[in-house]
Formats: sequence, C-alpha cells, structure tokens
Amino acid sequence: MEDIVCVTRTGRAREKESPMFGPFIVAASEPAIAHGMLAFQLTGSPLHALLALVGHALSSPQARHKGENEDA
Amino acid sequence: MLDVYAFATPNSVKVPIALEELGFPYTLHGVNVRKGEQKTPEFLRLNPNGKVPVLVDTPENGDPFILTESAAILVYLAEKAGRLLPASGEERARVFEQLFFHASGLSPAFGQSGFFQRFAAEPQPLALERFASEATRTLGLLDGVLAERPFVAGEDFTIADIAHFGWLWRRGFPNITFDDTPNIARWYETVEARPAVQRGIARVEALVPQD
Repeated sequence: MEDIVCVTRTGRAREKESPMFGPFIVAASEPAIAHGMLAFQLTGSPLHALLALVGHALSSPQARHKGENEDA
Repeated sequence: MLDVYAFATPNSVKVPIALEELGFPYTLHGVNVRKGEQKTPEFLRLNPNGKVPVLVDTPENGDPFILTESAAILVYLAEKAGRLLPASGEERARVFEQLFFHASGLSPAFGQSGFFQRFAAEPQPLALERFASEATRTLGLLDGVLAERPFVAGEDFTIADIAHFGWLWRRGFPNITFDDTPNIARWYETVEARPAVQRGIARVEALVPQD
C-alpha cells in the first residue's frame, strides 16, 4: 500500500505539471477516486485500486472519529 | 481572562478539569478535530503544532500569553493558583516524575496503540504488537504506583492525577480495560467522582456536535 501511495502521489504531481495527464482523473478530483484509478492505471490490478480506495477510507480525517491523535 | 481551545480528547479534557478544580473562570472554545479545525491557519497561529489544547491567558494590561502542551498548561495553572502542585522538594519532584512518565510513556503508547488498531491503512502487526504491549506495560507500571499510594504522586490529588486521568478516560480508544489493574480502577473511580472532574468532562463533551 505504501508503494501505491507513493506512485499515485507521483502521478498526481504529474497531473499538476501537465494538464494533459489523466484529464478524467483530474476531473474526478476526489483524492480517493483519483488514487484508486491511478493505482489501476499504473498497476493494471483491480485489487491494487481497491486497496488504494480502502486505504483512503480508513485514513481519511473523517475516519479519525475520536480525534485522539490530534492533541498533545 | 483565560481562553481554552479544546475538544473532547484525552489531552484536552485535562485543562477544563484543572480549571474547574482550581476555580478559575474561563471561556471554552471548541476546535472540532474531526473536521480538521486544528489545522486551519487561524488555529495554527495559536499552535503551529496543530494540536489541542491551547491556553490563552490575557492580562488586563499586557499581551496575551499563549501556551500549548497539556502538561505545561497544567503546571502553569497550578503555579498560578498555588494549588495541586507542591511548592518544592520531593513531593514536587514526584508530581513531575508522573507528568513526564505520562507525557513520554503512557500517553504516546495509548495514542499509537489506538492509531494502529483503528486508523492504519493496512494492518501493521509489528506496530500493533509494539504499542499494545507498551500500553499494557505502562498501565501495569501505574497500577504498581497506585498500589503504594492513594494518588499517583503521593497522598494528595495533584495535576499528575489530572494528566493520567485524561488518557484513562479515553481508554476505549486503545481498547484498554481495568480488569487486571485493580489499583487503577480504585483510583479512577475516586478521581471521576470529584465534582470538578465531572464538570470538566461535561464541558468538553458539550463541544461534540450531536450528529
């Protein structure tokens, strides 16, 4: 998963550099969707795409229900 | 004038509890960490670390004093009031011993254990085992301390008790129970029954939107 995140982040950086890169992904600008699609695009694996989506869901700010890691 | 920026979190709750115990009037401002309000530019001007709680002490004539880190806030308030922290000597050292043990031992163990149980994008067995063991180990250490004393730093209730109480109040986050720590269970019941502690908890719980 960590590798996929790195790859997709690289992909998103390329999106910003070139408007022609992945226009549909840019249009669907929700990060979770974009990361899942990029994972599929780059690996050809639906499983990797699903893992990227699940990873987003589990690590999103909304998932930090209690906020216990946001204080000191 | 005292302003507190906080939410219903383990470290936040310590500050309203201390203020209620010490009898200081204060204004409580909710920072909804579930919505990421602790990362807004406005809040980061108060605490560049992007974490609650924050205390702002504004004198009638002078600049506001902004303080972060719950343990530091507890010490500041206790010294301001001259209560809940012995003035000198071994008793004072015992309070600091427990404050530092909490801040460097129990608190990060509980926080990381809960994080890897609940929020990690994929299971991390080594981290899960490491932090769950450390949370249990530090809890056992504290239970041993409380087998010898009524409160964590000695015979009297101090800010060290407030510090430990915050995370033990939120023990469900790292799935901790008191089943094997009867001394902590006894101490927790005593602390939780204090009227000021109940008022402090009620104040932060009221910050949570009911949605």
